[in-house]
Amino acid sequence: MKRLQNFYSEREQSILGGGFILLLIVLWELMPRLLPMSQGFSLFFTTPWKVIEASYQLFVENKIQEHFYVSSIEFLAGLGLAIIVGLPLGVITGRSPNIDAMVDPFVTIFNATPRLIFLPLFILWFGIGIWSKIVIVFIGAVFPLLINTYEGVRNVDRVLVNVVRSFGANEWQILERCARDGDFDCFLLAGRYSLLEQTALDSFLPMCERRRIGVIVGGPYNSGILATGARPGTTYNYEPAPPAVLDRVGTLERVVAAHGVPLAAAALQFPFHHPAVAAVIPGARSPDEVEANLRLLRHPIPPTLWGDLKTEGLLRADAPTPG
Amino acid sequence: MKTKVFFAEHRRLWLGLSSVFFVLAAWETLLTYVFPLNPFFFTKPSLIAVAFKEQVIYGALWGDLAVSSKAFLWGFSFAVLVGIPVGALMGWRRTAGYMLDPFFTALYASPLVALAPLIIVVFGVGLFAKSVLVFALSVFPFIFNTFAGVRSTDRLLINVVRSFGGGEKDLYFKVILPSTLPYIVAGARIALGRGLVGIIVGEFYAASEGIGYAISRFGDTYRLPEMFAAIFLLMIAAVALTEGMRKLESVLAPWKTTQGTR
Repeated sequence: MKRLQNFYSEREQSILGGGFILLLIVLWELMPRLLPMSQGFSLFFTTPWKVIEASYQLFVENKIQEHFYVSSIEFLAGLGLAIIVGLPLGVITGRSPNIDAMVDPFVTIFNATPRLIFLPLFILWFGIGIWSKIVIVFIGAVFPLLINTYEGVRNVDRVLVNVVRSFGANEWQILERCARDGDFDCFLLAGRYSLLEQTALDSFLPMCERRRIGVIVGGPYNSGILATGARPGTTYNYEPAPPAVLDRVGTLERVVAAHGVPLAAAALQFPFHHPAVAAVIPGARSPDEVEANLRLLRHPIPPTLWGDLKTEGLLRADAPTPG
Repeated sequence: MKTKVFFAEHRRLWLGLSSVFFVLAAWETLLTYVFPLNPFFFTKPSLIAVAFKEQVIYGALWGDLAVSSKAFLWGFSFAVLVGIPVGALMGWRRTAGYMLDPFFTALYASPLVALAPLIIVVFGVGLFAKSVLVFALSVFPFIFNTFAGVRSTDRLLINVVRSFGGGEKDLYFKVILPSTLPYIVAGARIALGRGLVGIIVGEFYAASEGIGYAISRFGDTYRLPEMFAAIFLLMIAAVALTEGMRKLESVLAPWKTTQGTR
């Protein structure tokens, strides 16, 4: 009993759904036997079993296949035509507001109207053969196709627009891949163009310059280390700095200090010298840090500093710098 | 900024109207000066305008429209009266939902217009058969949208009403009804289109009056201008109904954000 109950509760939905349909069919079958029907009414009545018999008969005598075949051809041809016309037109109206405005009244009118009213007209024009039906299938299917394609194109656009407004990543490779597919106004690139790393110089920044994409450089201090200098416990790319990086920052600090410049000032001003860079956004935790950033930004830097960094092998020779 | 927005909307209207005008003008010009018009197979806007005027002022077209509207209203009203309670029941009582969902889905998915000959055989030619056809086609969007609306009611809101001491009445009128209403109105718009198909099919198959009958009669007798006049009249009515429903949607369910313009 318990098992039966489990069986039922696990399959309640399909048992109730299927059972109800089955019940209706059985009732229908039994109806003539349960209710007395007049001669006249039974003329217009049939039962499921008789329907099955008749279907079998039609199938065996090959009477239904031909009709089914003709209907299928009409349906497929009309649908195919609707796809050929509806999809491109949907894309065009979705992309161009002007064409959309011109096509819109027709789409609104034809979509609201049951397309079936054109059947007498099409029979007049195309005869009662296959073509009038193909045309009616076409005109029935083309508007839903067009409208949904239109909505699809419009919605994709909206998402893309939002992405374009603010696209950022920590890997320039991702951004470069995106630039191949879309038309972007600007990219936010964090940590990949700084005194410690200039890998973006190879292809990403030149591409941005060529395509007039503004680059917003984030993380000019590589998450701390270039602001604080080589101190124990400082972070590089949001993790404790490895010894090799600490060494390198120590050297950097020495060279920069020889010119009387704080390391953070050089780190903050360096990215600005690339023509593709539109802005640099150092993070700040307090108003004091914002003011410190402003001071660092105004700190004078002798052009020879950059040359020294390059000869020491600390900065790539092809990085754009003054002097 | 405001003037810019206004201009953009204005421009849309202007472009739309001029493209409609352009199509009508091209149609008229082509059949007047380029191709000789065969009045048995085609017609042009000027002739349609004359026929439209005559039919609308003196003709029987208004009568036909009234006959069709009556059948439509009966069928549609019953679809509302039956569809919403059935859908609500399916949403409230799990057992009812399980039982009826597959059956109604099967009916909704199949082209019920194929039943038109049967309905006409059983209920005869006239108002009743047409109303039944409209009902059969337009009841399902009401059922399924009410069903979906009730089911998608936010559990959290129900719990909130319960924990603040709200009764069953509060539950139905303050949570379930407002959250279901947008679904119902959206369903009404779908039902509208299907109901119109019902009217037209019913009147194509067998009728002695009505707008669908008028269209097929004018077609059979090669009176193309009158036929187009009837088609245009139906188009106007259909657009008015659909746009009216859209307005109703934004009035009754302003919190539902409908994107796009269609």
